[in-house]
Amino acid sequence: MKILIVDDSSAMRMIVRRTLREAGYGHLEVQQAGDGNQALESVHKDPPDLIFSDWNMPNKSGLEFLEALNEEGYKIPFGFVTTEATSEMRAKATQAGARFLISKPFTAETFAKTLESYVKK
Amino acid sequence: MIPPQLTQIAIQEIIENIWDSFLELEIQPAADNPEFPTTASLLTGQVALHGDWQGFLTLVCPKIIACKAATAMFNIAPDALGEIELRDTVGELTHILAGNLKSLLPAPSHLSLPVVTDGYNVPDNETTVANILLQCEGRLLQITLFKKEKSA
Repeated sequence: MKILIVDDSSAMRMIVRRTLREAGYGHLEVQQAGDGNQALESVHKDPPDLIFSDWNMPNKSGLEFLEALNEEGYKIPFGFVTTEATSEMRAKATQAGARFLISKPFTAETFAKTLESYVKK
Repeated sequence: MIPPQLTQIAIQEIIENIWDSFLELEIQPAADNPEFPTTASLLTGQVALHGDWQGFLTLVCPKIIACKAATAMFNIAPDALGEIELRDTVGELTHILAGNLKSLLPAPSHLSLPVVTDGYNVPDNETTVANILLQCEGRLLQITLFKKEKSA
């Protein structure tokens, strides 16, 4: 099973990977992208089974990336991992079809609880 | 007007939570109101807030603490870190802090991407809403939230 981690901060991509391992999902194959454009390119080449995306990124935001996936007909489970978790952002995320929104800082427990619906350990 | 929920304690709790979750470093309020060493080797992270509440946040971090933070975030040895990793780390920490503070401010508003510069780059001609000095590994960090008046 493949997961695509999208974040403009390589430090944060490392932390997401580490937290996935701590949550018991170290077996997942991980792809990475630094913004929405790179992520869309990655999906075109090799579609993942699950996407974790930051919201606020240069070039193409996480929301714009999700909207592009919707327009192209992709149905890949998509969740935001973002610093901003206001009710307004959660509503926007849900409206665009995101399955979940994890706010930073997060814990392995949050990842485990969120992922149990989507990934087998 | 300063939102009542934006207390020094609330900001400190957010910072402690970020430091504990991602860096496993202790951070606490600086004792005895010390003077910040503005000429030390520093990085300043800045994130702007636009919308119903307008302003910006700065995090001034000694490079030695940025290095410790980057070591924890990248999980690599300090001598394998370069300037890019230090700036990435300080930028991301500033952005997470701003994102968490945003939930205490009037909505809707949105954040800019972080900008990280060398040295002490905190303006002295803006309206300061909160200014907090913290101590991590014996070094001082400064977090300042500024408010900008909306233009007519």
